[in-house]
Amino acid sequence: MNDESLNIEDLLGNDSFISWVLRDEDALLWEAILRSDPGKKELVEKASKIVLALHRAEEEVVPLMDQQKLWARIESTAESREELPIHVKQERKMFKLLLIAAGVALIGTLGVFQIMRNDGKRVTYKELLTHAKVENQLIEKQNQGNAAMELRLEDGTIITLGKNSKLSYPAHFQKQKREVFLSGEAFFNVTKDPSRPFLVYANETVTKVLGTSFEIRAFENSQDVTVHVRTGRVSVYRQSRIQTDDPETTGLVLLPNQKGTFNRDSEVLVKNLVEEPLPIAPIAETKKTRFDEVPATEVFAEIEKIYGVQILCDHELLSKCIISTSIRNESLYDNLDVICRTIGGTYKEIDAQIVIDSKGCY
Amino acid sequence: MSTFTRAESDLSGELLIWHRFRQGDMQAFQSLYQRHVRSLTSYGHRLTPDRQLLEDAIHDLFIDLWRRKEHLNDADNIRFYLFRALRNRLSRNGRNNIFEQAEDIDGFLDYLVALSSEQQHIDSEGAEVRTQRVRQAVESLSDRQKEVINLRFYHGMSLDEISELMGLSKQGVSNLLYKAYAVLRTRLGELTIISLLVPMGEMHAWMV
Repeated sequence: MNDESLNIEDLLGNDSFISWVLRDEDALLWEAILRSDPGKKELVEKASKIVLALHRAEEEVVPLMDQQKLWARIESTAESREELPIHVKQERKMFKLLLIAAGVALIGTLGVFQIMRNDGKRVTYKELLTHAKVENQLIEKQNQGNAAMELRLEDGTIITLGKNSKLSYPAHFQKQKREVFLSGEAFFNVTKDPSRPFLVYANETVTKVLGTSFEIRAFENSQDVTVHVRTGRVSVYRQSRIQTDDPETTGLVLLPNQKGTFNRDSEVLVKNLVEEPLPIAPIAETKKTRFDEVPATEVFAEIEKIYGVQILCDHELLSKCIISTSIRNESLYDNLDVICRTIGGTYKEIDAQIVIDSKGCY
Repeated sequence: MSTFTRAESDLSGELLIWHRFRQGDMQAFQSLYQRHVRSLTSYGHRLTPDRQLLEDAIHDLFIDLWRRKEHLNDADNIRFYLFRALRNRLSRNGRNNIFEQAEDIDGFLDYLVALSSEQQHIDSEGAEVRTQRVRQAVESLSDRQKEVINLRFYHGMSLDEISELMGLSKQGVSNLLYKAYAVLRTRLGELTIISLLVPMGEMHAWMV
């Protein structure tokens, strides 16, 4: 390092110099310095160009973020929190826990199914409640406001209730299960309790939680009931009027980025991907997101891992497609668009899986 | 000399907003957000590459602020306060390695490999291309070096503030900056103004 570079670095280490270049503060001081020692002029110019070059470079990397949308989110949380100024800190930690309820039999809910033995095809929220009330004192919360409403149950589960939605739950859960009744939409973050499965009754469906967080949309007057899974595993099934051995066996198990839709007319339950599948875990963790000259199949394998979504393709054909790309931390479809453009192929979603169609590369 | 100008009344305006915010004024809360969200996004990006994680952290940060508004003190440097809160929040998360002490040697090796091929395309670059190249060079720094470059040259923070924010001694901050300069110098070679060692005559070609 020669003297000159040392001087520049000294300037870069001078707070007043940085303030002058970036914010035009302390200008008098620096103009005076330059006047008294014109020999420093070039050095000062060089240093300030470096500051500006780095400033511009950093300015370019600021990620695009929808500031309005984020504000709307902050505002709505801030307003809903005001009604419930309770220990938010602990709650946040609690719902991170995994609920491992797999294998816990559905004993005890049979009673609820019996009420489905009426003639009407559709099951209403009211009907669900009449039955449930027999054994339990229920609390009902209704959200008529514009902002989402946050509820905390005795087991620590947090439920964010959407507009025009209501939820009933017992003041105290039973020993062997936790049952709630929903009309409308809600996001659930369920606290771990392997000995007591968490069941959400909504219209004709039952959602049993094997994992942590999911969203249900089940309005009384709408055609469908949908369940979106954010994390963990969830099983969804119909409430059957005729009691079979285990209604769960005819249901669906949903994984992250999958959505179950129950059509109330056709009474069919189908599985799809959610509209915008997002990485299950932040990409930073998985690390390998840049690919140089690798077979396309290798990239697809990584995408499968990141989004937890199965990708079907002709391995033999696509292993000849050598591509360089990087997987970005955004929607699955954006990433697939880029890769398919590279290999001249298309993709479609079939039964919650992605099928790649390509003629291969030569 | 200045890239952006600041209104004279900026500082007092900020304090007024802070004051009104603490009394529960939602509008003041919103202007606080609007004033700082871009800076926080820029700095936060250097703490985690995960946009969703960052968005959540900024959300939580402002909610936390709102919830505790009655208990907050007068803040003479609100931006610094917010930066520290964001950093603490992301460090608790533990998903990124920026808070580890070790410098990232892999990044360093990567750029050495890339270096030789890149030096071939040095002619007649426009200003935009140059910025682009500086940006890429900064990307090759270790996470902590990126953080310090961002704080110093994008946000114009003083060495004292950076040292407090990053939990390093002032000397530690200087050392980190020097390491970053060394990497940038090697990385950019004779390509841009950043190459601190280039003699004057050659310099002019790149500066204009």
